[in-house]
Amino acid sequence: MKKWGKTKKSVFIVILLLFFSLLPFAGLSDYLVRVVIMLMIYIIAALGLNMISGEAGQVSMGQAGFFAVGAYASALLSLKLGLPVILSMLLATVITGIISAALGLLALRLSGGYLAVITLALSEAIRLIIINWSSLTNGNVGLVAIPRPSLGPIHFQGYTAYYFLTFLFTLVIIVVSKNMINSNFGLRLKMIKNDEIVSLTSGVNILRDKVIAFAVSGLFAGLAGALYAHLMRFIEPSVGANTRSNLFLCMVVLGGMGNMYGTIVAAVILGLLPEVLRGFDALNQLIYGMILILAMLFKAKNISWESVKGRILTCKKKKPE
Amino acid sequence: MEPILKIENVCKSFGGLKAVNEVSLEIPKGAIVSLIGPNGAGKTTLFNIITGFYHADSGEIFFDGRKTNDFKIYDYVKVGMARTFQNVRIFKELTVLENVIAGFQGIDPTGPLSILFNTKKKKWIEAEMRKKAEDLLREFGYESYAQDKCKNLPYGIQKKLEIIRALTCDPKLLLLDEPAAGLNSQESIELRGYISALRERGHTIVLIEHDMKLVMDISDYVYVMDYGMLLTKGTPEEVRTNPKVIEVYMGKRR
Amino acid sequence: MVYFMQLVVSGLALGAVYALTAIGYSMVYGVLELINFAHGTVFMVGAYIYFMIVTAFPQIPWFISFILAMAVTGLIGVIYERLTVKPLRSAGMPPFAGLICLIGVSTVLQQLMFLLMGSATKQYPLFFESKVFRIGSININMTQIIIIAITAVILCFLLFFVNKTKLGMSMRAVAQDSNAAELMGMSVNFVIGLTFFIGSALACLSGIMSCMNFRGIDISVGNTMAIKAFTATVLGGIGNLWGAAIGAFIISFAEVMTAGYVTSNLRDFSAFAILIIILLIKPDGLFSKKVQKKV
Repeated sequence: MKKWGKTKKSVFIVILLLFFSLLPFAGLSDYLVRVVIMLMIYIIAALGLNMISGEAGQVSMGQAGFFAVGAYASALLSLKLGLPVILSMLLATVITGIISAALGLLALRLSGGYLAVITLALSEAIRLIIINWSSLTNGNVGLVAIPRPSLGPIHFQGYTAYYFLTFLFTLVIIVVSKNMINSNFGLRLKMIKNDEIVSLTSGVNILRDKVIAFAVSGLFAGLAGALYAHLMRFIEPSVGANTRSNLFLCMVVLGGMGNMYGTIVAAVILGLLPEVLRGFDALNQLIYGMILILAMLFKAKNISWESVKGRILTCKKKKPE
Repeated sequence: MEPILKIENVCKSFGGLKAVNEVSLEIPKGAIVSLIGPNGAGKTTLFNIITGFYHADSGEIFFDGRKTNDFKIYDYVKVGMARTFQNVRIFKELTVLENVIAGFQGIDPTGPLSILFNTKKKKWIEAEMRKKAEDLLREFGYESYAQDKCKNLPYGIQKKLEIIRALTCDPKLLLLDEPAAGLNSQESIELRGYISALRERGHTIVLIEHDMKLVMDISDYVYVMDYGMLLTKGTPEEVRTNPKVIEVYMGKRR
Repeated sequence: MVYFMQLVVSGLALGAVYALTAIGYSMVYGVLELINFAHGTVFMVGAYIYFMIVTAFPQIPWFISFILAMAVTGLIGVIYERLTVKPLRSAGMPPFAGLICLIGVSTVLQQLMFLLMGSATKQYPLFFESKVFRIGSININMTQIIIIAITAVILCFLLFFVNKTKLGMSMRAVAQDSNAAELMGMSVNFVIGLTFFIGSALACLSGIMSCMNFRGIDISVGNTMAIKAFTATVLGGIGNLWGAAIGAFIISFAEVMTAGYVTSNLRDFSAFAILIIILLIKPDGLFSKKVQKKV
């Protein structure tokens, strides 16, 4: 029985992998391929936030700040230092991870609403630094002509090649994220979310684990930002706007606050929303807001995703009768 | 016999109120020691000082020959001290097995970088912890609950589970804060055997308890606190007949 | 010296605006231990409501429009509290649930306002003639005088309300121990509703005066205000009304002085920097007694 479940799962994974590998060859327009790339970038950033806010329950409202750091760092490394794009992406990811570890060490001594506010303030501070440090960042004008990556003879000029690069990174992030959640570290984050006092008495240095989770969330956000910068080829300070932080938080909350696959599904749904509602930007934000409210109200009424799923499934089963 | 825990002249006040006042006590290795006294006598505060939740204003605490005044709360597990709480505090959203594995987290040696990658060593450590946790559950007869979420279990089982979690790192000293509170008389009798069994396992036990029958039955020594001070100490028999203790329990206060 | 005094005057006017919003944060935190993320948006909504009333009915006397706007905004506060915060509270949800819910409320309110009013900056109506007075060699304009005067009156009124009236005292009781207050026969729900009403009405007043001060309004005015007023609240020790007011003036002076003596680009940055430093050094704020966490 267990073995059958396992084979079913791996067949499912293989099908998914095949689907996504063949997707760009299915005659999709550049626009659609670009949308899918954006979705994968969102997944990476959301999985990062899921680590600190979903698994460890520490609400961070500044994920877009780290997204911006990654985007600017990678763009600047390739523009000003002329580093190969893939190298600057990786370096930018590491830099963002280090910055978020340092800021996490400061901020995570707070929790709850205080943490939410200080992370918001930190990301605003990052945005203001980007705007005001114009000798480096070009201020409000932004950076233009950010190069696309190339790997030896392979140039990633078109969207298809860039698609595979992003896809590869996304796979790595999903696997790393899953490993972390299923390990002792993941258990400790769940413990911290559940009861900090008991975690402490169980011998967990909760600040250390929170900082690690925060650093990882920054790391992922940095990678997502770097991928974003070289996809768009143009960035401005608003990449770190707090509406984007709210969007990432929305993905984690809608995904179930500590449900990795839920977060991925939510990232896809919320990432597609603006494409569906093109031209209705306000409506888009309005829907995000409603989702946050309803997700919490449903939770209060104890309507879990499982029960909704169960209801849908039973409805489907009843139809043929 | 050398004491495992030694407290010298510990004081702690909260804004003028002396919750613990010049308390000194010694817990001998392998003993079961009870701390009794009326509500507000400072017993739980003393527990919180011993386990690092509060820092003593003055006085010294030695555990197993080491001064622990400046320990962080999470350091105590590593030197062999564990505690439970007055109201059950376990991870209610986690499964029983996860709760027991949680007890090992203080001694998980994997570093911050290796959490990103699934190393062989890490997998081995985790498998080992899981195995030990399963053994522990088997020892106490709870293996059938292993995959149940704790919040779905009855109160009595949650209480014992909390003690099992405290046992994971094989503590030399176990501090139990009102283990019998909220248990019915049947469960209370079970608990008595359970605590004696813990002593057989080699743990020294200190408990705060209001159930006098339980205290008098299982304790080797009893300390009595009142108004933040140590009133008296002795064997259960001595304490039972001490006129001061009788006054505290039967006299003007109750 | 004249320049400095000039900055002090603008600092006072700015601080007055911050103080009124900060008190709303502080009151809600006092009773619910919840940071009201929607408060900054309510500030913006309140300012727009006044704007709408004045544009639609220019003949209404100014103080009636003020009171109307405050009442409507207060009601909005009560409504969103009943619809979102209350269900979560009665279900015993952890604090982050309320937090996220309020982020949602904030987004929804802001976007509704956007759909209603568009994103363009509009000129804000004044109910008085804009005049500049000279005291010695310092210029004070009419708006600043009105802001400072109204804030002073409102603060005195609040002081009286919280300390001397029965309602105010029941608010303090609920803040101290809502269970005990409930047992004493107070309606905790009513008190919480009242808190949101007063807080939102004050945010509305603050919004009106802030927009008068800057002579314009758009839908983003609440965003930085939210962080600044919150900084003031934390600075003064959250839950402490007078601390919030004093914190507001500290923030406004820091801002005005940074803009005046360093560079106006760093104006907003100084507020964030103060918030970050305060939270790290003294998370309990300047004027709060440290409370030992009960285990």
